[in-house]
Amino acid sequence: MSTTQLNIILADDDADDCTFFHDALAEVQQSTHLTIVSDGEMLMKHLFENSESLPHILFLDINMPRKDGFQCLQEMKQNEKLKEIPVVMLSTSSLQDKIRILFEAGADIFIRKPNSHDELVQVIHHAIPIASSNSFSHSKIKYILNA
Amino acid sequence: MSQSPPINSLTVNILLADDDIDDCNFFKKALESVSVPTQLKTVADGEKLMEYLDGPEQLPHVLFLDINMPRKNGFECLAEIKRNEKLKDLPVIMFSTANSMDKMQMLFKTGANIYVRKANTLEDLVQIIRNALPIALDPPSSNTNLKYIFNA
Repeated sequence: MSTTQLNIILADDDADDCTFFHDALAEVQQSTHLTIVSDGEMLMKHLFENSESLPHILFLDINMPRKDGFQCLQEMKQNEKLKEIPVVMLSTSSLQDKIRILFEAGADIFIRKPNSHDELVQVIHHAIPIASSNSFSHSKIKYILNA
Repeated sequence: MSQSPPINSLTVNILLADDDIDDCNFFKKALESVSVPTQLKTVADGEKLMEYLDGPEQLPHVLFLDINMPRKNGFECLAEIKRNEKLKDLPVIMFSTANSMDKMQMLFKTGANIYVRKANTLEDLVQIIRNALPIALDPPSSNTNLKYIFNA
């Protein structure tokens, strides 16, 4: 896994958060290729059009225009091809009820967006192997990072 | 604290504090499937844990600490460890069957970084240990105080 390039999609409408994520990912000790889409409709369109080269991990913001992260998650989990993609949900808040619903809908990891660059680097660095381990195993263990 | 960096050492020394013998055996079995060389030592209650940490043995690289234990519970042990200059940098992974958010927040405030709800299957426990070890063993320089919940 460390030798091959990891394809990551980030779906987030906030341009600052996207830049923040891009810069943090660049510091993670792993070869990655990042694709950014800025709303839920674009995400689903991108996934359907690139169904032969799906991402290894999707980082999915919850609050997005046109189609939010929760709707995207639900659509993905109903689709035979897309349901295997490990999904890391991103949000600024960490309401317990919300997290529970996301996990029940099939999300693997929930990350409360960190405020500092260093924390974001670290949380992405930790989320990548965890997300990968869920995609390779029957266990679909749920993780909350930056609780 | 000058513990040898576990990344470079051959074996990760793990200390498990848990009074439940079945859970200890389950943990031991899971460790055998984790593809990292490990050495496990178990202690059966909180008082024995604190005696061990206070004794002449070398400190473990990581401590898995059950919350519900007789004589001294995991929460009390955690608080003592974090107050102790010699012990406070020891990575502690809290381990419990309960899933109460209030309890977790209290543990996080006391200095725990990782909370694991005990898994029901061996496969799950293997995956949890495999994912928790590298995070717990991150060098202290990268310790940004992030709090993690495993098997939420």
